[in-house]
Amino acid sequence: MVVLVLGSAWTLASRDADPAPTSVGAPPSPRQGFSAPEFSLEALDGSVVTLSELRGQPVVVNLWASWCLPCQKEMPAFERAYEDYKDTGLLILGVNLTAQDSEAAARAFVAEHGLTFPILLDRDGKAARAYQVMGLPSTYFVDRDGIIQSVVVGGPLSEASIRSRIEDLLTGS
Amino acid sequence: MLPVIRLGPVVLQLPGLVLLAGLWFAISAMEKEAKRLKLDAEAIIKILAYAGAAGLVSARLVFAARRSEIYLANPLGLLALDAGTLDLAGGILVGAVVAFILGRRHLLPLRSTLDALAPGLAVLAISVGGAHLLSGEAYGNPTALPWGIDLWGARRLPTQVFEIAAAAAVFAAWGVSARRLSMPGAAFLLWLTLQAAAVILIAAFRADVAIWAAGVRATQVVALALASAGLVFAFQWRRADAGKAGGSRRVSGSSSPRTHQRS
Repeated sequence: MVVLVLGSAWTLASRDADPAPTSVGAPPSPRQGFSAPEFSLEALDGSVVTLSELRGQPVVVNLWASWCLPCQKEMPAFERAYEDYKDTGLLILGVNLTAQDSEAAARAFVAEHGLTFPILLDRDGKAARAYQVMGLPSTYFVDRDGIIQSVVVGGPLSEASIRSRIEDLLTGS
Repeated sequence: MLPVIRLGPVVLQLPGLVLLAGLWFAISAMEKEAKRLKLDAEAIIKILAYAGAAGLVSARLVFAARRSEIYLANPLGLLALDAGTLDLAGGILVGAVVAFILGRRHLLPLRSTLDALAPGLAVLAISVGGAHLLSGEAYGNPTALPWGIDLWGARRLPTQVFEIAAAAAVFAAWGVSARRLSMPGAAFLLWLTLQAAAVILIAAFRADVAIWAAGVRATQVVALALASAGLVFAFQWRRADAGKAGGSRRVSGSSSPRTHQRS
């Protein structure tokens, strides 16, 4: 009874006057509910991709390296998902950790797996630092507002897992 | 915060390992308490294992059923080691139903069995705090206080440390008080109430809890509801025990009229 009375009083006293999510206005951070950290990287085709310029479309950011076995295993599933969902506006960005890999190895990897989505080169490791990468692959599912909806560190992700998360991004659930 | 460590090509999820270790200690504590209460500890552990397995499978099946088109096209996805594709509510519900049914089948007394589970649940709550500390989940509000920790782009209250300390305090308080309680089920309700109190207290400092109408935190409301349910059960069980005691006194009184005549 004491817990109920004091607990109710504390619950009311500690109400949040500003019910907006606490991550709103917070610095970008690589975790669910926060704005995805910004990056601007050169792609294999020479174009430059800036994450913030993609607001309005859901984006999957997959950080990988050619020597990473789980990355090799999950990449075909990402390619199939991209083929099926690209018409919905979904974009998959494969960010190669070039600082720990090599551009030549990344190109060979892309050719071997027949990847058609943009492959970006993180030459100086800036994106890896911004995303606090602790293991590869690391995948971030970012919604139309630039908010991270789901983070998966490690892999390989199953195709069903990838598609489920993409569906959630598209439906906004 | 140290969510993963990499061992060659393998990425180990440290929070998961801490939870597994916590589960092992929790099962040991439950087994010990079950033996002390003279319950069939082996049956209880077996039931927990079956309920856990049923819950895990159901969590995946419920998740897949909600995305049937995807999983029918990729049935191997059902076997994926991915905690993000589990329906927790569905898993917990099925696991609880399976545990209840198996408990009835093994003729385990519900209230004493819940008492046996209490120390294990208290241990598990400590490991959940540890898992949160490693993963950075359940993070606190921004603060300028000197004991803040740098997390997710801000200096924040170390709510995960509060969580561990509170769960350890609940475990200690339960250990001191529970064995003085004579009513079956009371030890479990004591843990439930203390843990609910800890959650209500700490949730006020967390930045990641859902906010409901009028700014009320969802976690606190759920904890209050659980504490209320505990209070209702405490009254009901006490009344039931008093009824039984009264009934047995009446039965013993009517079966020995001589005693009454003498007095």
